[in-house]
This record gives sequence, C-alpha cells and structure tokens, in this order.
Amino acid sequence: MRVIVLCCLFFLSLFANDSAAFKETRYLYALDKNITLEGYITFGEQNIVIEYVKPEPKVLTYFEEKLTIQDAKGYQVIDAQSMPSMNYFFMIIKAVHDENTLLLNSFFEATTQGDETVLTPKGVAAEVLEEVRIVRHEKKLHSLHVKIKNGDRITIEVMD
Amino acid sequence: MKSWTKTLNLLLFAIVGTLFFVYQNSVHVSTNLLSFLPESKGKEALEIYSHFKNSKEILIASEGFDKESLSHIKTIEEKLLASHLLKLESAIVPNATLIEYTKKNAFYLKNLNKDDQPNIHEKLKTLYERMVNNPYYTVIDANDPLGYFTPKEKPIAMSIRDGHLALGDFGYFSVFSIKDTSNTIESYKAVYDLVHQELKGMQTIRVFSPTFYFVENSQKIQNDVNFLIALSTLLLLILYVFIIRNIYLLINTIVTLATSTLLSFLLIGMIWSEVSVFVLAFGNAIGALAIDYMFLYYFYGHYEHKKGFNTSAFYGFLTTFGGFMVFSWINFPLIQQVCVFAMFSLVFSYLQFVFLFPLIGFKKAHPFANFTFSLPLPYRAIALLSLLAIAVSVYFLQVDTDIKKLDYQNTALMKEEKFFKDAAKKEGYTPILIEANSIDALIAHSNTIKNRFKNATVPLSYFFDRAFYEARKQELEALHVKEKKTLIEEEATKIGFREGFFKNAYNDQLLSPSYPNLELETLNAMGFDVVQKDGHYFTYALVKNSERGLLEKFDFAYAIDAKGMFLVALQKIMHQLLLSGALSVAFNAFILFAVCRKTLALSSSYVLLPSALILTLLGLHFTIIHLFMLFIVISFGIDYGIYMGKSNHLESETKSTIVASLISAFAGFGVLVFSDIGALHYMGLVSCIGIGAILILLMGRRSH
Repeated sequence: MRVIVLCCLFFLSLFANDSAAFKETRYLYALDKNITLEGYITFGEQNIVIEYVKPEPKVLTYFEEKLTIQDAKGYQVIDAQSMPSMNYFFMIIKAVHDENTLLLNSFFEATTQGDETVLTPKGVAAEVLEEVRIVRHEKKLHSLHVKIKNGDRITIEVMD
Repeated sequence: MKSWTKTLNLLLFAIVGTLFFVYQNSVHVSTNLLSFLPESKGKEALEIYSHFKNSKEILIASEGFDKESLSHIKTIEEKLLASHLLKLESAIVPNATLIEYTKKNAFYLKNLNKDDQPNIHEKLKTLYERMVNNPYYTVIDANDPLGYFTPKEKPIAMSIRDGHLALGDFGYFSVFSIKDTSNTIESYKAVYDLVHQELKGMQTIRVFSPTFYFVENSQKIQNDVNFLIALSTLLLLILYVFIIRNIYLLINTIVTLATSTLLSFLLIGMIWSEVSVFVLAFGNAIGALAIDYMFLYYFYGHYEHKKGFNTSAFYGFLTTFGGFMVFSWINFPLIQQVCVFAMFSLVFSYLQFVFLFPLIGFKKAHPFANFTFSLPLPYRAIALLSLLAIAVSVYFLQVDTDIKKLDYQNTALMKEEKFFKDAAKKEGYTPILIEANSIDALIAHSNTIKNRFKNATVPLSYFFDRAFYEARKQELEALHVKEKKTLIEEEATKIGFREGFFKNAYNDQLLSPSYPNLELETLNAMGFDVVQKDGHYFTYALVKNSERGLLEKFDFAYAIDAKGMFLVALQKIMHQLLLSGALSVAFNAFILFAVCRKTLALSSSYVLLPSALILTLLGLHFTIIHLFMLFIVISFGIDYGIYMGKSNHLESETKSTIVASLISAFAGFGVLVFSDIGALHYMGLVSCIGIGAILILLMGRRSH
C-alpha cells in the first residue's frame, strides 16, 4: 500500500502546475506540543493537493469543501464545512496563493508593513481566528502564520 | 321638453363621470386572484405566511467559482445593501444572539449518546492520537472530552465555497430579505426595480423572488386588461358604425354604456374595498350584452315611432339578469363581484335603452344586411342530440382545480423559480404553517413535525421546549459526569494533555443551564421566522410533497398551498354553484316554457347546442371559470331563443338584431380569448364556442 501512495505522490507531482515544498509546524495548545510536517503543496484550478512526506506519507485533496485523505490504510472523505477551523485554513491558503484580495477582505482587515501583511479577522472569521500573518520575500510567499482562538498556532514555511 | 330629453343622457353621464372622477381613488383595483377567494383557514395561512421573510426572499446566483464570479456577487451585495431596502440573509454570517444561545445550551441542542459507557482512558487516548496523527488540523471539544454529544443533522445544508454561500455547482449565491414588512405591491415594485437596475447587463447572474410574480404579473395583467378593453372598444366602435349607421344614436349608446360601467364600478367599490381587475374586463363584455336591448328596440323601430312594450327584450333582460342574480349568492368574492357588476350594468343600460332612448328618438337606418340565406335545420333533432351530448359530457367531466391556470402564466419567472428550487434541492417541498398559543408550544410542535417528517426542514426545531429540557436534564444527571471529572483530568494529564485543559468540561452551566424562555423578539433577532396574530404564534416548515398526507393527523399544522386552498374553497361553494346553476337552468327552462312553448325545440336548441359543444370540447379540463361562463352563455343563448321563437325567424329585423348581437358579443366576450391570463382566456374560449353554435343555428330555418 505504501508503494501505491508513493506512486500517487509521484504522479501528482508530475501533473502539478504550481507545486512547492513546505514545512508545517502546528503548536497544539491542548497538548502544549509542536508537531512538524513536511511535504509539497499543489494548487490546481479547482483544488489544493497537499502531499505530506514526513512524518508519514499522506495525500490530502481539498476539492469543493471536501477533504479526501489517502494513506497506507486507504482513503476517507471529510466534509470540511463541519470543521470551521480547517475550512478557514484551506480558504486562507488558497486566497493567499491566488492573491484573492476580495476573498481575504471579506473576512479580514489587512495591514501591510514591508514584506509582512497582518490579517485581523472580522465577522464570522473572528469567532475562530485570532490573527493571520503573511510574510513575503521578494514578492514570493515565504511563510504563513495562523493564530487560532483556542491557543493553537500553525506556521507554514515555503522551502527553497 | 324635447331638447331637454335629448341632453338627459349626456347630463346623466356628466353626473356619473364627475362622481367617478371624485371617488375613483377610493376604489382599489387588485390584480391578485388569491385575494378574491372566500375567507378560509387556508387563506389566513397564506396571509400569515406572507409576513415571513422566507416567503419574500430574493435569490441571486453568480455563475462559476472564480474570482470574477465572486467579485460580481460581492459587488451586487454591496450595491443592494447600500439601498437599505434589503437585508442579507446569509447562512454563514453568525448571529451573535444565536451563538450565545448555542454556547449556553450546547448540551441541550445536540444529540446525546446516552447508551455509550465510555472508557475514559480510551476516549482521551483516541482524542490525543487524532490531534497528533491526523494529517489535517484537528480541533477537539474541551467541554465534551468523552464525546457524549454529536451535532444534529441538517437535511438541506447550504454549501459554502471560498467563504461564500454556494448554489450547488452553479456558482456563488446570495439570499436577501425585504426590510419593509408592509407587503404592498409598491414596496415589492421598489425592490424589483432596484434589483433589476443593479443587475442590468450582467449575463452570468440569475435572480428570482416570489415577490417578482406580484410585480410582473400585476403589470402584465393590467396591460392585458387594458389591451383587451381597447381592442374590444375599438372593435365594438367599428361594428356599431356599420350596424347602427346613425352617429347620434352611436354617441348616445356609447355614453349610456360608459355611464352604466362607471356607475356599476363605483357601486361595487362601495360594497367591496378591493375590486378585481377581471371585473373591468368582464364589465366591458357585459356592455356588449346590454347593447342587445338597444338593437332590438332600434331595429324594430321603437326609437322612431311610439310602439308597445317589447316583451322579447324584457324576457331577454330578465333571463340574463336572473342568471347573474342567482350566481351572486355564491360565497365567492370574485364571482359575486362579477355578477353584481353585471346586474348593475344590465339594469342601468336596460332602463336607458328601453325608457330613455324612445323619448330621445332616433331615426331608423336601413338594415345593414339582409339575411335571407338559410338551411333547413332539424331543430328537434339538434335539441335531442345536444341533450344526449350534454349527458355524456357531464358523465366524463373532469374538473381542473389548479388556480394557477386561471392566473397569468409567467413562464420566464417560473423557469427561474424551478432553477433555484432544483439547485437548492427544494423542489418537491410544500411550505406548512405551524400554529400554537405559546412560543414553547410552537417549538414543541416544530420538533414533533421534525421527528414525524424525516425529510422536513423545520427551522424552529433547532430549539427545545420545556418538556425536552426537563427530560434532558434528567438524562444528564443520570450520566454522573460530574463524578468523572477528576478522573478525566488525571487521565488526560497522564496521556499528555496540558494540565487543567479539561477543567471546564461538563460544568454546571452546561449541564443545567436555566431554562431559556424565548421571546418573540429574541427569535426574530436570531433570524427565525415567527409571527404573532390574535394571541397565536406561527412559524413555517417545509415538508416533502409525498409526506403531505401525514399532516392531517396534526391539528396545529396545515399546508400553505394556493391550489389546495382553491380546492377547499371550491368544495365549499360547489353545492352553492351547482344549486345556483340548477336554479338558473330551471329559471331559463320556465321562461322558455312560458314564452316559447310553441317553438320549444327551436328556442331550446339555442341553449342546448352551445352547452353541448362547450362541454364536449372543453369538458376534460373544466375550471370554475368554464362552468361560470357556461351559465352566462346559457343566459344569452336563451335571449336569442326567445327572439327567434317570438318572431317569424325569416324576418330580417330579427336576424339583423341577432347577427348584430352576436358580433357585438364576440367583440365583448370573444376577444378575451386573446388574453394570456387563464381566467379571461377561458371566458373568451367558452363564449366563442357559444357564439359559433348560435351562429350556426341562426343560419337555419325550421323544416316544414
């Protein structure tokens, strides 16, 4: 099964039209613990594919508010709408990638200073999120920092 | 004396015209067919439903899920909200009051897995592993670590794409409600104009609102009625110029008809606060019937020389007037208005044509044509065969109760409605009204409906009533979770959770909050549709059409359905309608026997043949309008039977009179067949068949 997943990852990377390696660090307040994941993120026309290679190979496909997870055990589909935090997370990374300021402005007040843009949530987003920080280097996305109201933190760094 | 009488008609018109000019604004003309249905529970339900924002939502969808589409929908939202006429009813925007309520009563709003006896260590271990091993970011509920509670299922959940409401696979979706609660056509029109102004030129946008029917149909009906009145008037004018051929008489006839119509309109405006626009179209046609009396008097030379009382005209008037009078007792406002209008109009016209016109005096012109052509028609056989055809047709008669067929068929808007219903998966659902004498009972009823109808959408079932509250409270006490709290915290710390992370789990505020007494204002503030009327509270739900039959078991819920309501109203008045019909037929039969005993076959065929043809040709989709119009055709058919029976039918005056009457009846009633409005079209269709049948009979002569 592991071979199949790796094959899938290989083919996905072949077809990827905009793929980038990244490192994700999740700070979980409930556990007071950091979890680090590494992989590749690919933005398609309609979907986002995240291929984790560390700690375990897993493929996440976010398409039409549904999240499909493929790993060595098989695959499962989750309705992202039932999990607001996850839904916002995907919405933000898609909007940042697409530079969809209209979408971001619907949920955040943006303040930019140099290479750093701070998004302060408003309305429905403020119920879940505390702050989002986007750091760019030479106009390219360098890192994304998401502070969640429950004390959790997610940092995504784009690796060169 | 003579000059005074010559101006009397114009004087009458001047008085009535002035009265009309002064009082016309006090008579409200309505295009809404539903407002002329009899008072009933269904009509009341429809009226209450019209106060819910759900009944007057404005749905806008922008095609596609790209940046441009999102930009379109956001711009539209901004522009429409800037007008302050509309409110955005987006499902993703949180309602602060509702969030507060949901947080406070979380353990009472979710499903409880009370049979689950969790192993605390296992449950917490699973939670830990989910957080650590799930490839996606996972949040846990610190208030319920043992997972006793699961959210209720939502049957028709709106999907969200890119943080915006989405309409299936079509595109982004926005739902607005109208702020103005007055439910007037003016407020709907203001919103209609605003929306269409803002959406002008946007190709990828689709829009619908039930309120658009009121605006578009009203305009269409108004235009249609105006067109028909103009067409009919023009046609009548041309015909009269050729038939009457006396300009002075023509002017007086027009003045008389105008006086009768205006006076009748003012009088019914005094009886009813709202007058149907259909009465206007019908009133114009009635004028065409009334002119028969003038034709009879004119062609028989009553206006030229002093002659005796014309009994044919009187009996003709009596049968038509009697027919309308019989039907005016039916408890159905639309029929009553039409009948009372016709009665007033006929009386005024008859009195003027019979008593005033001979005083004025008009020279008779030569008959416009000589009708010498005739066929030997077997009237007795026609009458008998027609009777047989009537009996067979009545046996196979199928009554069509769909009221929407009587209204204007706005196909463009109906297509948009279907598109949104299909996309939102609301097609096949019927709105129902739930009634209770308290809010608590209304919530209880809503939950009963929710539990009984599996596929129902019942907004108020989100809440719980006192009985549920007490029961859940006991269930929660039986779980003894408070006693488990120390163990949960100890185990959680051992597994790796932050110390004290679950200290607020299963706290007293969540386990036993005070019962939330919800007020009407609170529910409205939370965005729920609840209205109060006469000490009763109402809300709505949507149930699948296939499950509607189950509603009969509940005395607190009933369907909001114009078709069903019309059916009930029809059932209630059916016996009245049939009784009136029977009375009318009996009255006509009596007149026939009394006046035309010697020419019974001939005279009765003028009633039987039109009836037989109407029933045979249209009997498979017979609406209340067909039935009503059939009786009208019988009423004017009998007039012709009397004229033909009383005279030597070869006498050209009689035939001239009848041909003139028929042409004018076609110009009055027949033109209605060109209407796009079902009710008027059916009236026209029935009268055209009737007129055609009478014309065939007129071409005949008795076989000697």
